[in-house]
Amino acid sequence: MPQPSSADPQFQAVEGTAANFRLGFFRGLPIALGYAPVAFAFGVLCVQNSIPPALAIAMSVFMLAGSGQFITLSMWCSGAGILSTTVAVFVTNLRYILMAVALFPYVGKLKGFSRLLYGWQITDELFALHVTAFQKGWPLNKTAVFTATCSAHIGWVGGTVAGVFCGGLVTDVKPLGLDYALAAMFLALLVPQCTDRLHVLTAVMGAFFSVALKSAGFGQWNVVLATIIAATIATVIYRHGKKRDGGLQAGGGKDGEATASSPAPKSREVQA
Amino acid sequence: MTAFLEQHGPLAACLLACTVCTVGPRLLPLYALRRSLPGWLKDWLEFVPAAVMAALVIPDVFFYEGVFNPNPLDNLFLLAGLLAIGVSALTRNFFATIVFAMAFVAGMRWLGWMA
Repeated sequence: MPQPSSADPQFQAVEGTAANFRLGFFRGLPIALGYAPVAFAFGVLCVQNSIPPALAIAMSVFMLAGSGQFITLSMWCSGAGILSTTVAVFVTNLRYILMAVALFPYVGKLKGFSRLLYGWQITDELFALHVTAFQKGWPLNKTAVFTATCSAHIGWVGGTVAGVFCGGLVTDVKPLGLDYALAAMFLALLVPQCTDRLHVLTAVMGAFFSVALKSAGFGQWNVVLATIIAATIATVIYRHGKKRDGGLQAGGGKDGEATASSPAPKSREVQA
Repeated sequence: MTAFLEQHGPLAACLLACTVCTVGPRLLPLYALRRSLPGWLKDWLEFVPAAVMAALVIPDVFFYEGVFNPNPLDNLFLLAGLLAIGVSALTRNFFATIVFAMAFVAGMRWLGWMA
């Protein structure tokens, strides 16, 4: 996502322009760059565990899921059966329900194949990218959106193909810092989410519960549980503040926290 | 093809099931939800992005190479993360934050100060 600027509206009106294509490409590029080495590692691991190349690549094409694919691979190779592998993958992927629900107000108007493809391509990174863009008031421009998602998808599949067929060529992505690309991207998207104190608190709670649950051995549940707990506490605080403000009018809350937060997307445009 | 499926049938079936379990959660809400969501759900969804992004990324930063390490002077990903948050808050620039963080990680390794 290039810097939103006063030049934005020119991208927004028309579908299919070169500007929209460029916008989508540059939004998707950091994700593709982050995906490629991870997918490369996945391809290498598949070959080392004698997964046939066709199935390894098919996984990346159809699943398009980082943690999901690695869990499938490691559980299958450690001898877990179809049922336990599938259940583990399902639990890990429950977070996608939350993401799709959060995206629904913005992408619900997509029809037919567009909706199917958009939903199919919801990954952690593309969710974070798009929900931030939509919150900032960027319209649902199919050219920009699908150029971004398909760039990321190509990066993922391309990395897998390279890992499957020439896994021996590259041994280490660490000197380039590529193993930090996705974390860096999430941080760059997470900070602008913290528009007020209540959102900072939400992020801190999400981080805390996620780390705590992971440390406690809830490795596959940590993200979805931490998200539900943090967002629910924040909602209770917010609605409590709203109710109290309704009674007190201009009095305001003494912590100022709940009153400062407005769940209206408009509040973010100030930041952008 | 037949020989391939005979040899890899169970794996193929497992991958199919895993694909359904990956794509299903993504598609279900897009097809099941109605146009207008109740007010409490809208409020709740307003906090989901911050919560889920933090829940996804912060463990990756604290668990460097699989080991929980809360000391930023001993954990390169945590130190880079703290600095990246600072850069993002100051510059509000998406690309600058990513480039800075990756360059910092690569640079520290190149200098051999942190692994």
